[in-house]
Amino acid sequence: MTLRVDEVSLAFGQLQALDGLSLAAEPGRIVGLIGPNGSGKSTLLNVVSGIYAPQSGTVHVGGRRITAFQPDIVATMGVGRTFQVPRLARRLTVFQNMLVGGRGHRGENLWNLFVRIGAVRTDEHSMQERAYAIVRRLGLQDKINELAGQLSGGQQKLLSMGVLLMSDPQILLIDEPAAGVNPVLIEQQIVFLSQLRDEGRTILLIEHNMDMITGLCDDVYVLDGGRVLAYGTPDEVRRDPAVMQSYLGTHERKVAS
Amino acid sequence: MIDFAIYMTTIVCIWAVLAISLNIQFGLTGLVNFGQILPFAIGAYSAGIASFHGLPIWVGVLAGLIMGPLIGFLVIFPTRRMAQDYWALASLGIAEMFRLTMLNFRGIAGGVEGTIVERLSDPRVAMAVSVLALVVSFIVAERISKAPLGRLLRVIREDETLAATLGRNPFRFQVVAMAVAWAMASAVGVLYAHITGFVDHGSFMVIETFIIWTAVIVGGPGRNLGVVVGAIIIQAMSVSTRFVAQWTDLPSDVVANLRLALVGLLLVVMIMYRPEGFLREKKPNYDVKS
Amino acid sequence: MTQIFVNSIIYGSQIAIIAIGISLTYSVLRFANFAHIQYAVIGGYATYVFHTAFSVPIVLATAMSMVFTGAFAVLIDRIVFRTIRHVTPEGKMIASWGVALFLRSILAAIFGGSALFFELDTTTIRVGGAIFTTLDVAVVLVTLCAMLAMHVLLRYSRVGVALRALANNFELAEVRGIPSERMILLLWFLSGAYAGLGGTLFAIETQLKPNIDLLILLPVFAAITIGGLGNVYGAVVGAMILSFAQNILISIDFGSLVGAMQWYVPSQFRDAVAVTALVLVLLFRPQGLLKGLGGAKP
Repeated sequence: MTLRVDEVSLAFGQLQALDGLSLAAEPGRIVGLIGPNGSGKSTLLNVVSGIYAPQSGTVHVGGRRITAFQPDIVATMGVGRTFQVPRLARRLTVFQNMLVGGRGHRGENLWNLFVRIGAVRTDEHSMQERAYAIVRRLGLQDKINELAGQLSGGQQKLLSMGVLLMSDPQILLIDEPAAGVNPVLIEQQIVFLSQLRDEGRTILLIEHNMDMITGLCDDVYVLDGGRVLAYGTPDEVRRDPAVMQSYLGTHERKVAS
Repeated sequence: MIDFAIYMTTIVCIWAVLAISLNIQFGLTGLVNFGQILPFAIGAYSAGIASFHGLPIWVGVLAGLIMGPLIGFLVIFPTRRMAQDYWALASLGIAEMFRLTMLNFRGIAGGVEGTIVERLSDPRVAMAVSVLALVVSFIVAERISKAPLGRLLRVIREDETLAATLGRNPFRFQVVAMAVAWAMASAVGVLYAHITGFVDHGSFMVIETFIIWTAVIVGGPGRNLGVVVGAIIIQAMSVSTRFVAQWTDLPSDVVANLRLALVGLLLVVMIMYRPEGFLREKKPNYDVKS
Repeated sequence: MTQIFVNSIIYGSQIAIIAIGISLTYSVLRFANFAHIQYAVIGGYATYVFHTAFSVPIVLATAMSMVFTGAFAVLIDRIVFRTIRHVTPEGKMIASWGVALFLRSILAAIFGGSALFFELDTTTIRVGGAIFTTLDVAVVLVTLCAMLAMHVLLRYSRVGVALRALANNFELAEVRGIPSERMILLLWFLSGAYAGLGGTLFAIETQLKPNIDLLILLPVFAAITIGGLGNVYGAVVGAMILSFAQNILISIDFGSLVGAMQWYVPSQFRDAVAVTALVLVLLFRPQGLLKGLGGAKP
């Protein structure tokens, strides 16, 4: 499914978080979103996933208009997301979190619980198998009975990716998967995300880690002040003087020092 | 002595159901209902109003079972727009609104004098019905708690936004939890009216809500067995103070106040030192091999 | 008509003084402290004890009681609330109910359930069609002074600046070097002292009983909800709006309006009015009527 954002604007009081921003992401491609803090990256994800309603502009998914739909509706249309600070049910175990990720479980219906007991059991069984397969892919199979809140930051990011995959989304919005994560886990995520791309999913990736961006992304949008500052392949964007000035220059200097 | 044991069992069962009901709301779903006495009052007043207007008993019973979840829906509705601490205030206010209405409108159910309700004459029958109510409530609550539905409710408790981005409408599930919980509480409300044979506003003061809260916090929010134990502890405490009153020469109203002070103290101490309650929420252990 | 106005001002003043304290603590600590109502009742009893048992003049007794309840609020913070700073707002709210239940029951055990009265000499004053007493005048004046003092403190003193900074962004204010724990102590002291004053005024105007907390609870929480939780100025405005609404409503002859015989809303419905206002505001404007009108953000 294609994701298209057209002329989206949103202001919080005096602060113009998104200013007529447009972008598109195609299936089988990873689209990077970079830009300084406050440039509107996370706000854009919140608009697409339905947490904020934009003041103007539209969002389309696979040709259907989803502007300002409720987050749960957006999710059921195949758009899944992670958060910069991973959102997990911290007092539940890893496996409980995983199992809630999958939708359509008949055991979430009160009537079925007391009437269609067999169906509930069947669904639970298949859900557990799927969850276990994903957990193994993520290398978290030894942690399934640990509380999600007790995992390391990097493992929490992996877990929220796993929870996301449980619902088999066609469009994935991934917010800073590498921030504060050790290099081994970053490498694992890169492999993982490229697999997902090869499965034909649409991926929108916010990341500050330039190695991850250049290594993974097919296209990159550079945001600044809620607008698109530049667009192109990672290499093109790197060479763009405006980008160097506003973002990459400062960023790389910071890394160098 | 036997009479007393029968009476105690009856009362404990009723309060345990109220605690289970609050546990479904708070322990499982994270709804901070400061008006938990309301569904109980709705049940009791359904019986009271039916009796006051000379209607047959079954009308009151039916009304109680229907009105509980229905009003529960009206009460939960605003939670779509407000944070939990605001909703807590709203639920407290709505419960008081109901009580004050019953107190001030004599025409509904006798106003300040209350109303007489047909009484279950045999205390053993009353006890049997209460035990049955507890068993049924417990089984329903346990089934929900251990099922995928309970898992989802817990996620809503931890983070509503997360549940929404996973494709679930938190409000819809809060409504389900509320309906089940309020049906239980209003059912025992009807029962309570027919056991005491009398309904007046004095049984539904704000304090009663916090006695139920204490049972849940003491027993262990999220754990049905825990909150039943909590209800037993609170009721045992309240009964034992009566004996204390007999042994010591303290006047009974002083003892009653000291008992409430103890309840308050227990609530504070638990939140300070053991917020997970005596029986902490169970963590399921999955054993998957493929 | 003047009588309604006068009654509304008097009742609104009593509610406002108590409501200020809850908003004050909410603005920084972010939880609705139900025990505050008990601080007010304790303040009433403290004044009574100082005044009758030790024959301290009423004004001085009230001042002593304010210090006492202020210190008491600090004490409760040291024992209870400080240890649960990290707990969720709901948890703190529930704990504050526990504190409230404890204090109310201890008060009732000590003083018994019967009503006590401050027997103060008052003179009746008539202005236009309104009747009120010198005591009413004193209550309103004291309230005005107390509000003015709070305003000056919050707006113009360094302590006020620090408190407002904590209310706006606690972490940032801490980082900038504001001694948060010391400020919280001060916050509790002020809040408790105002509760003590409010409780005393309430008790002087009516009576003193352990269960007057139920008379205070709903109107006070309705007032702060109308004004927006955590907004000190909103609490005062909310109290006045509520008080006028209550007094106007119970003095309208609804019966004649519909052409029937005289019928008034019974005065015991005052509380029901408060609760209805609380619920309606929460339903339709949960951020309060006055969001954005100065004070701390809710």
